[in-house]
Amino acid sequence: MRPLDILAGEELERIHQATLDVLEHTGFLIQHAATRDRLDGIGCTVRGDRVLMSADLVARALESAPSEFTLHGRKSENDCPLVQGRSYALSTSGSPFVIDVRTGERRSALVGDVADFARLVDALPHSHMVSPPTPKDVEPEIVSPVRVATMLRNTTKPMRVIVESGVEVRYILQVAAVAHGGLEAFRARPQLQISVSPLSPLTLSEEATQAIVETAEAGVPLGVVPAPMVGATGPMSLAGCLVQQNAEVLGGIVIAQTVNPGTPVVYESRLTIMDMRSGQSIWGNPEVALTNAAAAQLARYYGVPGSVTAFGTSAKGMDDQNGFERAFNLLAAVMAGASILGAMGAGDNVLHTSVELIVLDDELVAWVDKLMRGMRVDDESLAVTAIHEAVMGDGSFLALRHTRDFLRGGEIWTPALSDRLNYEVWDQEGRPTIQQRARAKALELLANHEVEPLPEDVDREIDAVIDDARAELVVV
Amino acid sequence: MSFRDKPRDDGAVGTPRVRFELLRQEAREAIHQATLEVLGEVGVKVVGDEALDILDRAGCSVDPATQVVKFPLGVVEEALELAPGKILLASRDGERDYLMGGRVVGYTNFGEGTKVYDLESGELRDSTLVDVAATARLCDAMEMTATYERAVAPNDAPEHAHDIYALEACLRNTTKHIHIGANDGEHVELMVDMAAAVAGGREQLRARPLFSLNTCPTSPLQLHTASTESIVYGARHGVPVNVLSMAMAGASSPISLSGTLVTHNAEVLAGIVLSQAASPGAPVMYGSSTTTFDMTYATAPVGAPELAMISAAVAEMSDYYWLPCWVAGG
Repeated sequence: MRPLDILAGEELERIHQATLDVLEHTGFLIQHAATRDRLDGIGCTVRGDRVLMSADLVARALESAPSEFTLHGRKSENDCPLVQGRSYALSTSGSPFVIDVRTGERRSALVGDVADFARLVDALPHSHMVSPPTPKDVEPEIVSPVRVATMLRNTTKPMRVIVESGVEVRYILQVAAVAHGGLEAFRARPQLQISVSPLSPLTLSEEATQAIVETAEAGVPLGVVPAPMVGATGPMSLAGCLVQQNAEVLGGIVIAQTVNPGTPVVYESRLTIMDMRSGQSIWGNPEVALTNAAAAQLARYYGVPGSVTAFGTSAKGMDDQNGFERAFNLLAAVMAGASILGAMGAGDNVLHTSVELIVLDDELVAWVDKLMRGMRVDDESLAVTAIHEAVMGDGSFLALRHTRDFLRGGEIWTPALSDRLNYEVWDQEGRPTIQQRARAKALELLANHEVEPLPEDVDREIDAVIDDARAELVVV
Repeated sequence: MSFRDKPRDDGAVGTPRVRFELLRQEAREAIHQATLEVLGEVGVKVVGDEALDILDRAGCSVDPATQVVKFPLGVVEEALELAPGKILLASRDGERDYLMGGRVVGYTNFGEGTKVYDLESGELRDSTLVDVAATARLCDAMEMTATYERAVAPNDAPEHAHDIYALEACLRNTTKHIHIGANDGEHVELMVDMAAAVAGGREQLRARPLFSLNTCPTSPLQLHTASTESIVYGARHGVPVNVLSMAMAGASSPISLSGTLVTHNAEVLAGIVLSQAASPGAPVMYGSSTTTFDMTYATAPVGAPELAMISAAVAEMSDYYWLPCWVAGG
């Protein structure tokens, strides 16, 4: 189906022009001298730590960024080609908490949870990519290499990790290279996208800049993921905040393309709204759905894959608010043509994540996918002959060959989780809730789903890389 | 002149800025053509001598033995041209009228349930007249509810007169426009009398209809007495009638969704032809509660993606005909 344009053509153009204006006249604060020098050398104006980027430079960067590329699975059947018209669901990134599936209580995320999420995504048919929570039981300096190692061991699907420094990138690439039989082999079929966050407004720390540079130098898919908060770290107007976020993403893309033209990049939107009462960033509201859709449209306009927080909710429990906020956000993101649908499993403004919600989201993705595939309209499906046959017969379509053929052909969606019982049966069965069914399915998959283990020597080598990282980075 | 040339005002106040399309223009044409084929060659069973007579005089071919009516293209297209694109759903006090049609979207509650979750006990029980009144009052207070559809059946009222008792409870408990079903033509007359008393007379009611009627064809391709009489009597009094099919794809309509749209469309268009033949220009709505049929549990899931797809497609077909459209959420 044709993607939904939330912005009219001229509105899109004005956001683009305003973005160029910001990049050219306000510029990006880049706290990394080598990158400033590099940008100075190709025609940027450097004023102190601030780099002013010309429209021409932005245009060239967007030209060299590939419009389509593939995030690979360990097995090719799990490849995610990022092409127009395809959307992939990605589990939540960076939540400090999880809802424990056994106790139902919120607790800090652990490395074991990273493994669980990776394995669960591996098992579910409509979940395509893994991103990890932030575990507390590992030293913060090496949390990203450990998360990547854990995901590599527990999924055959593509993955994404957010990093904060270049040195993390170096160890992550070592881990990935070990798992894939060398850096070249990994680069040829990257199973990982590395994301870096500019600080809003328009700032890249030394560490974050290094992370962009290291990732681009390695030619590994890079996500630029600012998270401006409307009214706090970005303008109060939605269009204004989109302009700022756009400048932050494009600035990151300029750096990556300057370092290594052709680096695959993902346009990532994590724009949120500040709740004026609590100061908290809010992810479940219609403004997030709107700006996500606009960001997805901007990404399409620039010809790079777009990624948004598609499952955002402010709800804490698995209640109606949780369901409708995540469903509306997802629908807007998919309709707008986002390539990557982030935050599967997220609750409480992405502060926690839960395996039950991952299972539920897998069902939501299947539901929306059915809608987006649209309706077959041809002579056979218009069914004039079948209608004649049924009306001349007993008036029922149940026994027709046409019914059997289309049923087998997948005309009607069969849910994996949703309740379709009649009231009496549902009542007799103890009024099961979707949360109970999701929980049972999560537990069943976690108990039984096996991911083919990495070879033992690879496993040991990964441990050795993590040991090196710990020795170098962890301050005792 | 055909329905394709009806005047449209796409830019009316309140029109959403963002538009989504499920069917391409060619798909709408294909569904329309297949519908004309079904209406012309398979026909629709119409129950009621008066309705058959009206359709006969309008140029349809009526088989009195089988009650099957076949609709020539010209008759269908003429009715589609005559049926208004926008209709007034009037409120009692004139403060909260809803002008239905075009691309403006209004929201309404569900009807008709036969059971309610009791607010005090939380248990499911048969609904009563008090529940009709309570839901009317609640929806009167809800900002986003444009009209009130009588939400539940008054199971404690005399069984043969649920519609009459319910209308009274609605009129007394909301000033918003009321949407309700009628048992037959005689009841339509009684309900018109009641509403006319509130409006200040039959002509006042015609100018500002305080209530509209809902009626469901029987799928596949039948209009029974309650439907034909609601359509004919409603049309004569200027009371808007919603012709709302409730097909189940795979059971009472083809399993292919576009095929379901064909029988659905044929049923609704048959109702619209009857309405326009009874009173040209009568206000009529294109309705849908059509969904799929769950073969495993033998239920009609209105939470299925197929309902969303059918509702979207129905809205697009109504847009194609430029008719006011009423679809199920669910």
